[in-house]
Amino acid sequence: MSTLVRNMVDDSGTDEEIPLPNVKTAILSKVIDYCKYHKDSPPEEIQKPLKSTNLVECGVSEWDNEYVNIEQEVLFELILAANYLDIKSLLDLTCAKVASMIKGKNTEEIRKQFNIVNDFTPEE
Amino acid sequence: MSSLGAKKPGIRQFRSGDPMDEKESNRTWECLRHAIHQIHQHNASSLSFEELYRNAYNLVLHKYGELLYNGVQGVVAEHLKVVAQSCIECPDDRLLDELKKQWDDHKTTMVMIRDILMYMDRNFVTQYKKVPVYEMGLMIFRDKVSGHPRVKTHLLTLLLDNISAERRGEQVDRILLKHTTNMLVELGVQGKNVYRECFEDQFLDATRKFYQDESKQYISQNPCSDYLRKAEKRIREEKARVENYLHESTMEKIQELCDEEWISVHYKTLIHMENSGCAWMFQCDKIPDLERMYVLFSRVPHTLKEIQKVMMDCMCEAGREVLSDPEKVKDPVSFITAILSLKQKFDRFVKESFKESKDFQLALKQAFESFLNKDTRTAQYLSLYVDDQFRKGLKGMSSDADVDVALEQVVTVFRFLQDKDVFENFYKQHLSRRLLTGRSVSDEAERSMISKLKSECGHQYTSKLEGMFQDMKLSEDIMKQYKNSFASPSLSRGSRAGPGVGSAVSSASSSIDMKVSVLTSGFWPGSPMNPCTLPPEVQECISRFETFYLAKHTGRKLTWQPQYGAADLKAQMPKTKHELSVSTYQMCILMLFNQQPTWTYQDIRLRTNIPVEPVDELKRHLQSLYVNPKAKILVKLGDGEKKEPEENDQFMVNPQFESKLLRIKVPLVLSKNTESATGAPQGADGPSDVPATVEEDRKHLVEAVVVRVMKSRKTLEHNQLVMEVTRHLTARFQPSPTLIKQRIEKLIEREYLERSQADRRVYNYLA
Repeated sequence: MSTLVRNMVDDSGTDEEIPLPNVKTAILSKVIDYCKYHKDSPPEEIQKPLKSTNLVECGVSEWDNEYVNIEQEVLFELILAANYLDIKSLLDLTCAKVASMIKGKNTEEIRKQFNIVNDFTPEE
Repeated sequence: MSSLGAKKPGIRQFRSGDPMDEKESNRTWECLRHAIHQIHQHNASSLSFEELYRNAYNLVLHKYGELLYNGVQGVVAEHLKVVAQSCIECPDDRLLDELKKQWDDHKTTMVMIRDILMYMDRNFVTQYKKVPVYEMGLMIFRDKVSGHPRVKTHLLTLLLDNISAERRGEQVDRILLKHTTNMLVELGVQGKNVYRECFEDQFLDATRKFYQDESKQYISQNPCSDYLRKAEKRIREEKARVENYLHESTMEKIQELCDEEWISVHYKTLIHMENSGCAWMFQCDKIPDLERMYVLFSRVPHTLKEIQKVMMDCMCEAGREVLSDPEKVKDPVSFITAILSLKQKFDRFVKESFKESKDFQLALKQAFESFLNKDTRTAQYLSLYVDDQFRKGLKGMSSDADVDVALEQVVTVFRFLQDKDVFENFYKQHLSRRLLTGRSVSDEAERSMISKLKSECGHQYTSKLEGMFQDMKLSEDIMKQYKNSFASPSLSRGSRAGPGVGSAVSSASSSIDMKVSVLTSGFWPGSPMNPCTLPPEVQECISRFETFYLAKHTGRKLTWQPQYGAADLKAQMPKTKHELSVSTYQMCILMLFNQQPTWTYQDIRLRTNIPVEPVDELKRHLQSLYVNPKAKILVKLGDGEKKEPEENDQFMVNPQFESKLLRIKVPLVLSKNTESATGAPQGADGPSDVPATVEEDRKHLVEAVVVRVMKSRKTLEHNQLVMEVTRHLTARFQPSPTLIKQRIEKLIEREYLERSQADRRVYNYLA
C-alpha cells in the first residue's frame, strides 16, 4: 500500500530494516492499523467534491469514519505521514476528513477551528 | 470531531517541522548530488535509500523543488558528456557494443535516481508541468550521446551495413542489432520518434534502392517462375528481419515496399513474358507456377485482373481453335469432348492454382460463355453429343456414378448456352428418334438427364419430353392389352364369317407381329403427314388395332405415321434366304414385288403414295434399296450409271443378290438437306443460323411476353419494355432488340398495343 515502502523492499528485500525517522511511533502505529485493516479490502473511492459533511454519505465506511475521529494534531500528522509514505487512500481519507471540517463554515469559524491567525491587512 | 475551542486551550499552531533555509537546502542538495555520483560509479549499495528519499522529500516540501530538479538535470548531463566521449572515441566495429553497455547502464541508474526522487516526480513535476525524471534522463541521453552527430551517423551506417551484409547472405549479430533498435525506440519520448528519424527513414530508402536494382536486374536475366521464387524469398526474408530485430511498426512499411518493387513495378512484364509468362504457363499446365504467381500477386490485388485477362484470352483462343477446326466441326462428339476437356483444364487451374477465387471463376465463366455462344451450332452439337452418349457412349459405364458424372458435364456446358431453346428443339428430335427406334442405352440415364434439365430450367422446359416418355410407357401397356384381347376372342371373331374366311383372317393377322406406339401429337416433334398406302396385310392389322384403341378411347383421332416405322421382312431372294431390316416405306416398296416382278418408278409412286413433298422420301427410300453395294436388293433397269431414278425407270428384284449375313440392315441414303438417320449435323447453314421452327417459336414467345408485360404495366417506354422482355427471356435465349421491335410493330398492327399520343416512344396496353 505504501509506494515508498514497496520501493525500499524491492531494493533491499523484506529482511532488512527500513528506517523511517520522519514518522513518529504513535503515528506509524496508526498507519499500520489502517494498512492492516485494508490489506484485503481496498477502500472505496471517496466522491469528490464532498457531498456532505457526513463522511459516511460520501462513500466512507463506518470503520474509516471512526478511524479518523481523532485529535486534530494527530490527524495532521497522519496526513504528513500518508504523504511521505505515499499511501493514496489514507491521504484521501484524512484530507477528506479535514475538508469535511471546513465545509459549510464561514471564514471566522474556520479560523477558530484550526487556530489560524488572521494575517490579512484591512485592505486585503 | 465536535467541540473545538473547548478541547485544548491555546492549541499549538501546527507546524510541519522546521523551515529549511538556504544553507540547509544546499547541504541537502550536496548530499544528494554526491549520492547520484555514487550511483553513476556503481557504488549504490553503500547508500541508504530512505535517507536519500527523505532528503528529496524535504527539499520539495520546503519549496526547493526547482533547485533539486535543475541540479539533477545538471549532474546527469555532466555524466553523459563523458559517456558520449567514450562512444565517439570508440572504434567503429565496437560502437554497437559500447552503446549497448552505456545504454543499459544509463537505464539502471536512471531507475535508481527516479526511485529516490519519486516524491518530486509526484508533486513538483506535476505541479510545474516538468518532464518526469526518467524521461528527462532519456532526453539527455538522446541529445548528448546517441544524438551526437558523430555517434548518430556511425550508428546508422553500422546498422545499414549489417543489414546489407545479411542480405548478401552473411551472418550478423542479430541480438545486438535488436538491442540497438530497441534503444532507439525507447528514446522516442516527448513526441520525438528517434527510431524513425535516425534509422527507419534511411533504412527504407536504402532498401528501396537496393530492391529496385536487384529486381530490375533479375527480371532481365531470368524466366518468370524463377523471378517469382526470388521475390517470394526476399519478401519472406524482410518479414523475418522485422520480426527478429526491427520494430514492429516497420513491418507494414517494408512489406508495402517489397510488394511495390518486386510486384507492382514488374507485374505486367512478368505476366506477358515470352515463353515463361502466363500464356505459356496455361498452355503447359504449369499449375504450381501459376499458384505461386497467384499467391504472390494477391498481395497487390489489382494485378490479378491482368492474369484474369490472359486466362480469358487463352480460353477464347483455344475455344476458337476448336470452333474452326474442320475435323471437329464435322463430328459433334469430338467437338463437345474437346470443349469439355478445355473447360476441365481451366477448371483445374481455377481450383488448384487460383484457390477457387470468385473473380477467376467469374472470368472463366465469361470467357467460356463468350466463345461458346459465338457459334450457334453449339446447341445442336451438344444435343448430338448427348444423343451419341445415350446410344453408345454410356454403354461402357458400369456404375451410376460414372453415368451421372458424364451427364453433369453436359449440363455444365448447357448452362452456358444462350440458345437453350435451340437445344430443346434438337434434343426433342433426337429423343423422339431414340425412343421410337428403341435405341437408348439406358432408360434410367434418360430420365436422369431430363430431371437435370428440369432443375436447370424449370418444369415447363421438360414437360413435353416427359410427355414423350409417358407416351412410350402407355403404348407398351396398350400393346399388352391388345395382345391379350387378341389371344382369346379370335375364335368368336372368326364366327361371323364362314369358318374358312374366319380362320384365314385370324391366321393372316397373327402372322404379322406388330408393335404400335401411340404418340400424343403435342409432345412429339414433326408435323403429322398423310400416310402412304400400306400393303393389305399390314392394313388389316392396323385397322384391327384402330378399332381396339378407339373402343377404349372414344373421341380420339389416330393418324398413322409410317415415316417413323420400321419392318423386318423375311425375304426369299433368288439365291438365299434372308431377313431384311428396313423402313416402313421400304417395306411398302418391296411388298409390291410380291405382286409383279417389275415396276416402274411412276407406278411405284402411284401405288404406294409415299410422299414426295416436302422431302422426296420415295426417292430416298427407293435409292437405298439399290445403290448400296452391300444391300443391293433391287436393280434399276435402264440408264445404267445414273443413281437418281427417273419416271420410267424399271426396277426388279436383284437376281444376283447374295450376302453372307442372315440378317441384313438396309441403311438409308443420306439426303442433302434433311437431317439423316445417322445424325450428322446440318452443315449447309452457316454458324449463325437457328432452325426455322425455333425462329417461329421465338417470335411467338416474344409476343407473348410483350403482351404479358404490357398487361401488368399498362404503359411503358420502349427501352424499358425491351429490357423487361429481355429479362424474362434470358433463360431460354437472347432476343435481339430488333426482333423485339418487330414483334411490337406486329402487335400494334393487331391492336394489342398502341403508341401513346403524347410521346411516340411510349406504348399503351389495349385491353
